Amino acid sequence: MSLYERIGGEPAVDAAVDIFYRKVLADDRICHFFDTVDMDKQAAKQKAFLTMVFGGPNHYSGKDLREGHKHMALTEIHFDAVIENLAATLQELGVAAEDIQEIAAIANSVKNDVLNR
Amino acid sequence: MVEIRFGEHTVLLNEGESVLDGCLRNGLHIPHGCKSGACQSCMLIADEGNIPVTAQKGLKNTEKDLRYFLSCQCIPQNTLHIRQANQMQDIQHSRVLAHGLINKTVLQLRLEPVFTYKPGQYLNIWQKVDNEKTECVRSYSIASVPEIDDFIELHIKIIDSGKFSQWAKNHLRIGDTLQLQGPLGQCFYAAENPEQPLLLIGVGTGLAPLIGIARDALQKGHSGKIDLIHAAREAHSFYLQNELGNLVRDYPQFNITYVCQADDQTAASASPYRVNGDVYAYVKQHFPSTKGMKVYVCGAASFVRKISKQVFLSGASSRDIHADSFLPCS
Ligand code: HEM
Repeated sequence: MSLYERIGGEPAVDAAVDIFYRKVLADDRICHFFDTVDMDKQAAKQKAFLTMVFGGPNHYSGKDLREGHKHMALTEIHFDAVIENLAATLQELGVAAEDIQEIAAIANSVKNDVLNR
Repeated sequence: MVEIRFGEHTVLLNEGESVLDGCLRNGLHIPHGCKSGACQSCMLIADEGNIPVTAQKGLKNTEKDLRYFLSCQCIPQNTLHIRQANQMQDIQHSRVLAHGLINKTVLQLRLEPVFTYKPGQYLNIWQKVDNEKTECVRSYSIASVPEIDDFIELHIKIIDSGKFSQWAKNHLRIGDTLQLQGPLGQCFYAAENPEQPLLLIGVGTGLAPLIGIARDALQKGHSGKIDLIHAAREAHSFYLQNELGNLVRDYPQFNITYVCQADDQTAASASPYRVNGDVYAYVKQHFPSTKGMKVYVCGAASFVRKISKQVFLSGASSRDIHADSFLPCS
């Protein structure tokens, strides 16, 4: 069974979106990137992000991620904040520790692209 | 082969090919992202044809009602006529049926209903002002309900130096024709279940879409609680209080609160539903948990951003928050 199937597929992503988004909006280190009028659109982007790091179906390339994040000039601090909120979300959902590690590893694998280095 | 019509283009899909892939293969430009149905950037509208269920998975009820679909997830069985989701509608001509101030700063306009719409959606008015010298485009939300009212009702806020609002107040007359474009937007009633509590929060003429949504919900048999909060800076800015009072009388599930943001003691005593204070604090105090509620927020962009975030953090799901923000204009 794949990681994505193990943690529950799309319903798990749906459950995670609001929890993760609430944590991000409450986090002073990064909330300004996500504070827009268009709450729906942001939630849809969070879903794309979570689907990807859960090992679900996606077609993002490293280049896409580089282009998509370049304008934000992100640093290590921002990246760590996202990973922390992600791990806390997964814990809250009762995801197993090994699976959380695997998810963090997927996120870390695109770190250089996201931080544009 | 299944045929896709997109404006003047015709695309023939290969076996098992999605609408998005077929269009891209034919050189048509469609914004897209994840190609997995998650990011929703490839959303289009199908005016005709059957939309497969899988192509609407994850969309809001409002979006489904408007025939939006995700082109990357859409492998249709039959011909579809599609268009970009943000493409502008044609201009329609509509006559003014009624025209009058309902308080010092709000002009109530009733127009000939030249298209079908859902209460809470908005329309654009295109109008030349200053003796034909300047063309204005203004967006207004629709306060009427097509099943009940035989007109489209708009609430125009009169702004001192506002080109369009001053023109509409001083020069527009009953019988004149306006150029309308619409309907637009997704801020309308589409509850998954008739018992879900609704929370409607608006500032100033943000009342217009909310009164439309509330009346629409009631006429569709919504039985859950409906709380409407109308905030304004000064007590004299409230309007349609008789109509709202009638709804309170006729429907036990409907409640209204007026929040007067300036500290105006005459306001507090004037009406049993009226309170003084800050709308954010009022919502926080009286709706400490918004979990499970469907929330509609309408008003200036800064207000909409702040209150949406607040009700989201207090429990409402992002999918259940519908916003209509007004852009500042002259
Ligand atoms: C951990 C690795 C990360 C991955 C795999 C990732 C992935 C994604 C994806 C797939 C999207 C959606 C792109 C689209 O289709 O439009 C996105 C959007 C976004 N990401 Fe990330 N992201 C990561 C880290 C971060 C970090 C550290 C931040 C900032 C703190 C961030 C902020 C954003 C924002 C603000 C958007 C929305 C951009 C917009 O509105 O267009 N991301 N991300």
